[in-house]
Amino acid sequence: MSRAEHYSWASLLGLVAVFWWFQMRLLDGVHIVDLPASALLGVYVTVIAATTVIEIAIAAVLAAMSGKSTAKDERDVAIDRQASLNERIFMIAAINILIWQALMEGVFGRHPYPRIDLSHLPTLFFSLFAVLFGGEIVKRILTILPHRLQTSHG
Amino acid sequence: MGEGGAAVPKGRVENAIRQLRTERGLTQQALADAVGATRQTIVAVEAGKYAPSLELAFRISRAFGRPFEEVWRFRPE
Repeated sequence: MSRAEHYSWASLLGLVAVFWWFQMRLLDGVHIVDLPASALLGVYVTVIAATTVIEIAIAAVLAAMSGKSTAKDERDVAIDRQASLNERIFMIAAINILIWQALMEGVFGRHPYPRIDLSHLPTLFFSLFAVLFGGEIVKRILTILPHRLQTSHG
Repeated sequence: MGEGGAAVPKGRVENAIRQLRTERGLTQQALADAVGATRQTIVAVEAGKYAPSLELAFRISRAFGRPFEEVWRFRPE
């Protein structure tokens, strides 16, 4: 495994762990808990701090582990570029789904799609953060996959 | 593309890296270090699963001390 792939695996696990904690705080089953804005601010600060600390720790550990070998080469950059493009496509699609259902809600009141009440602050907070987490997780997965496929035998 | 242009035949770029590397007793890591790439990239290039940039292709040829066309060849399909 290259250093870029190690980073992607570690970062993916870190992101999933933080998202797990995040959804435990915000969700009760499939319903969003009615937390006050101050509690949401606490969740926001915790998530940002946790992801920042995890990313710094991963980068420091990998830098300490790697020897004199090349850490990142043109293939890593190409894979990263493609994964970033796919992350952007995912996020555009997800934001458009939110916009679409909000418009349907406003125009028709009732619609057949799952209801996401974006006028409810915890729901808006959860939806936007879920899109951010989703985009990052998609990027990590789409970084790991080509690394695995291009170096697999057969 | 101009109108009426002939269709470009498909093909694939093949390389003799594994053969040249074995002849010289070079490991994938040693070649990777010599050309500034990761070992995984050498694995992918040898297996034909990654097409390197022109610069890396030239670096690999120079690492073997062979002309470009001896390391890389285009095989029309």
